[in-house]
Amino acid sequence: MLNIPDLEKRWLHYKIKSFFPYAISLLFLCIIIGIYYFFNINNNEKTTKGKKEIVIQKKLHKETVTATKVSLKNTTTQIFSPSMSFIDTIKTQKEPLEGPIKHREVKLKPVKRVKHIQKMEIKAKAIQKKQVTTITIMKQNTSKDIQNILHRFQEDKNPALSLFLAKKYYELGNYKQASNYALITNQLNQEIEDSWLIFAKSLVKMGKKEKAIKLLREYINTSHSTNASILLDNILSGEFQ
Amino acid sequence: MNSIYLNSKNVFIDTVNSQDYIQLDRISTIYQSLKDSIKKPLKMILLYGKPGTGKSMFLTKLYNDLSASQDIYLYETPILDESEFYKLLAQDIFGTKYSGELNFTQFMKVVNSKKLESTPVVLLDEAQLYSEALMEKIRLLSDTRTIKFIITLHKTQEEDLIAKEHFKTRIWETIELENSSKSELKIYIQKKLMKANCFDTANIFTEKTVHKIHKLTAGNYRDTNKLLYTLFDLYLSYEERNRLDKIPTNKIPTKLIEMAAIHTGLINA
Repeated sequence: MLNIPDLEKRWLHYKIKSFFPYAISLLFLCIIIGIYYFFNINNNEKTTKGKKEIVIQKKLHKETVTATKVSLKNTTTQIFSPSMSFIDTIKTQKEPLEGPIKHREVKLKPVKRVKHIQKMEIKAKAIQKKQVTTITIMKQNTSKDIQNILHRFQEDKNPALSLFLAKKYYELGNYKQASNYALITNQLNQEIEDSWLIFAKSLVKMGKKEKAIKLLREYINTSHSTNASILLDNILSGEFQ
Repeated sequence: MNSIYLNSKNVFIDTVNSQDYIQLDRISTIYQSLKDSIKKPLKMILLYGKPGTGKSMFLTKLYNDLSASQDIYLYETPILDESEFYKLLAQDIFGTKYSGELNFTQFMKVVNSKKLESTPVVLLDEAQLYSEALMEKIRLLSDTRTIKFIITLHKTQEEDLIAKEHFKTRIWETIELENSSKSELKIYIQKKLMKANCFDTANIFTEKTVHKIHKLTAGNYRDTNKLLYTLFDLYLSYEERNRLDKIPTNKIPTKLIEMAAIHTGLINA
């Protein structure tokens, strides 16, 4: 009679031993897949970060524009002396400011936001600094604003500055300059949607409606931008002239 | 105890018995060709193959089939002493008994003095065990055409060389026996079991089971016999321990085949 328990034991050992190479192969395969996914996810994160940077840049730019608009309104309603000297007083003055200065503190909120973004380790340092400067000139009158920005743009070819100029010129009705700076902005960074929109609007204003329509259609084809589509519809319907 | 597993186990006891010879198409063809070769005026016929391919069974079967009609002598165990070899041949073939030493020259005298009606056939199994000197004498004997030799050899690299070098020019017919194919193995197992009226156990050998057995034994008949003997011994052991309900009886589980293979050494566990 055969020793069944012993044979069963030996058989179990044999099975474990025979499955061992498969287990090793499976483990090896899992490691390879894991490594592959790890690197793949890292690459995706980098791409997402890049996209986030662009989005943040856009957001910051929008905030800058909004803040500038507010400041422009302030310049019309309030009687202030040129803000450059005011900044000088801020720099020298150590005591807490009162009254109208409180209002300025409120306007400086976007700066705080930029700092917050900086903590998120997103490459927005340069933009933040420029943002600060952009906000400081908010207190100037329009012509000085433009001059100051122009000067800074000559020093540092920042698309946010050129876009600001384009918008400013557009608001002032200088459509030729607006289109010019929108084009410059676009050359510096093609992904800034506002540069396309300002350029198209300026073209319409200069009577080059067909060119604007053609431009917007091309841009919509590549970017699928909703804002561009709305603008195109407005131009086509004659709502925007 | 009259267990079907006991009967089945006994079917696979490794013995050379012509009664256990299983007719397979390919083997039958080879066997017929060997029988035909004997009728031809050939000096020597070499039957070779790996151990366990059925060479001994072939010789036994041939001896049993032809002994009634032909002058045929089977030597399953090699006679290693030269003098004993001649003495045995002289006694069996020519009916001459020698008490003292008998050398080749003396034996040749006996051969030449006795005139036989037909050429006797001498079947020598395990010829690879004969000395080179004796093999040379066998060659000389076959050259005289007074005795026809059918010898079997194991096919190994070394023994193959012996076969080539010694018999290259003398052998008129060589027959190689090979391991069975999967389908042949299935027929072999089932026929063997059915021959012993073990119909129930014959039916549990499915294609998958035979495939597994063939994988382990490479179709070698001796290894298959060993494996199946142990397999049924396992069934018997389970039965004796009242643990037969733990294993399926309508088919053979792979586990049991592997356990039998471990026990017989076909699997190194």
